[in-house]
Amino acid sequence: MLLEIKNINKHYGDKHVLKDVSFAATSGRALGLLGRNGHGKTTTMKIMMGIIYGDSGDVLLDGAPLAKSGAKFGYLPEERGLYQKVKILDQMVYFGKLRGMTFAGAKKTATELLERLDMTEHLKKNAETLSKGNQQKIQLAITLLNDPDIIILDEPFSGLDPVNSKMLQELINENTARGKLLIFSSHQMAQVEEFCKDVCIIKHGVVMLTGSLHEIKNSYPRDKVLVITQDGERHLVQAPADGDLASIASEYKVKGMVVDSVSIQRPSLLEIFLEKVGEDDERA
Amino acid sequence: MKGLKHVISFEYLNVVRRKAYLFSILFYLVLMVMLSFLPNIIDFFSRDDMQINHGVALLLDEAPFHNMDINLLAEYFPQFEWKTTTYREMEYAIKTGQAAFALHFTDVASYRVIITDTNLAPNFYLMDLFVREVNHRFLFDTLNAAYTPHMPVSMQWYIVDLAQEDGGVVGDYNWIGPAGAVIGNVALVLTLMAVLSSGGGIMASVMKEKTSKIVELLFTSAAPAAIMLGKVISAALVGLTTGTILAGSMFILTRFNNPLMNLLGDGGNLFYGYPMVTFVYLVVFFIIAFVCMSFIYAGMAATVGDSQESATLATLPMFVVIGAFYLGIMLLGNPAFISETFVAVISYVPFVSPFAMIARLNTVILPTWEVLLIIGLNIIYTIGAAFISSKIYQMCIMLFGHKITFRFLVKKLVKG
Repeated sequence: MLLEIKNINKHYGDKHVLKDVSFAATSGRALGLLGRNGHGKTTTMKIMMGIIYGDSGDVLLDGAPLAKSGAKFGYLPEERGLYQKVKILDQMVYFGKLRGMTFAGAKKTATELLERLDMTEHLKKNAETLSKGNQQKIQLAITLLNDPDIIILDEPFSGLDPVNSKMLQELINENTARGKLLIFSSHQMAQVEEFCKDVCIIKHGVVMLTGSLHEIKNSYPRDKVLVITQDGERHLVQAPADGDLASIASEYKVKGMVVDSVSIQRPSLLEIFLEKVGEDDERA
Repeated sequence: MKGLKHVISFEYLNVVRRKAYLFSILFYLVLMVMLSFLPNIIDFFSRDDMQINHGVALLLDEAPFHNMDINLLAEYFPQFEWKTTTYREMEYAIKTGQAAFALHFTDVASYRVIITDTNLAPNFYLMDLFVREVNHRFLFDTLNAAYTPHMPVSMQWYIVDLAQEDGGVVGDYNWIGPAGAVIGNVALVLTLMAVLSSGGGIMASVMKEKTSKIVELLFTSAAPAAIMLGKVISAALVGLTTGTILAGSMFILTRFNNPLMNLLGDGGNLFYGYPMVTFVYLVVFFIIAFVCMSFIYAGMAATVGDSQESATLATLPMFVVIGAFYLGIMLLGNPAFISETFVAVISYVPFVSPFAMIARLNTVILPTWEVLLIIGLNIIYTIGAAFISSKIYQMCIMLFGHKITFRFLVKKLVKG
């Protein structure tokens, strides 16, 4: 499946929050939607999911409008919401039935998912009794309940402890391995870098960069060198113009340090992100 | 509609399974039982002071009455010992239970009579019996229940205008009977309470989903119209469940020679002479009022951003509903004070129609075609309200970020 977002525009009042946003995501490859707070990630996701209207533009799945595709969606909103006074299993079954599952099917899948997320003991508890992190896991379980073809997760890692983050990463990897189309937004670049093959960076509603993460990194000049000394110190230095790495070791030797290794570094996603959106002038 | 039945069952069970709901039903049931035995309790505490003499009836001879004197009354009501009395004596006799009831013809022109009895409560049975026996009939617009300034507040006086056979005042209408006033008032109060409480509940529910962002999950799972329609239908079902439980309990209570029911007539038959088809109409108008206003409230809740704003906005339909309610109460209380034609016109107006009809149906016997026509119109109004409200609901959530003004909504609705 190929999901294409084409020339999406959106105004909130007089503010033009999305300006011709276009990017594409494919099945089996997770796409990380990156950008600073308030730069249009969530709005883009909501428009993709049909929760809010865009002013113009198209959301296409394999060339046809997504809304008419019949594809199954799973959406984890940024602002978590559960029925606070309803039992976890009951609300999961409710959402399962709304998405076309049978009562028995929804109950079985919900139980399995909660078991997977180590939440079985909370099955019959009201949502209000759970911690924020656990509520988020429940929301994630609801998102994946109907085995969606397209999974959109808005800030899925926020509020999760390292153990739960790891659990979520496994789930994401598992779903992309199964050929699901997955888009998620996050501020944690290391995680995005770890399992996203594609990225889209948005700044002030404008797509600054989109495509394969590997290709993006390769397109950046390899002008940084990582030097690790015998003492374990790591230094990122400018690569010599002539590409002679041995000269770096010589320079360190002159300074009285013994170099253990010298390697050319590709820029990290964080560096790319900072380069693209970091020097924010707060202009709308 | 995708997901509708699931929304209905979820929302319905979400309410009726709550402890608060079960406790409130239990509370109403206990209250009902207590109220039904209230006369016994009052009687128990006032037993020493009252010596009820059901054999004596009084005629207050304050105003002349051309063809009904004490002898005629004695002839029609041989079971009572008739006495003429003065105003003060009547007051004392009634208050101390020395007389069963009293008639007070206050107006020669309209043969107005005041009937009260020792139970200090309206005695519709006596009124009806009186009218039937003396071969008069009530004017369709002549029942009035009011406290007279001359009497102790605790004594209720019922003023009934009588017309002779050839009165020719009532036209084609027939007064529905004494039970209409009671049933009409109860129906109006229940409808008002149901509309306001359910409207508030639906507003709160929509607001909660909107602010907690559950609506975003819902929108990706079911059609927005199904979500809203499901909420309203489930609220109507909750109302019907509550109504059925309470009405069923009341029915059971009346089967046990209930003292409260006895006040209203012989054997406690509240529905004495009351057309059952009217009762069916009442249920229909109750549901219409309930569902129609619920749609309005749900649509409004979608337009606002917080509970304070919603509370302010909720007052608008509340004024309309309460206005319609008072109109109905006025008509039931004293149809002479308000033009039947005016209420008839009002009964065709959207949203206030059910209230006007509940009052009209309990005042006069309306032609079937008119009732069915108004029911049909109300169904159209309800469908219209559902359509517009679901559009507003969908738009206001999907157009997040836009300032929602009335002009903006109208523009969007017109554009579709």
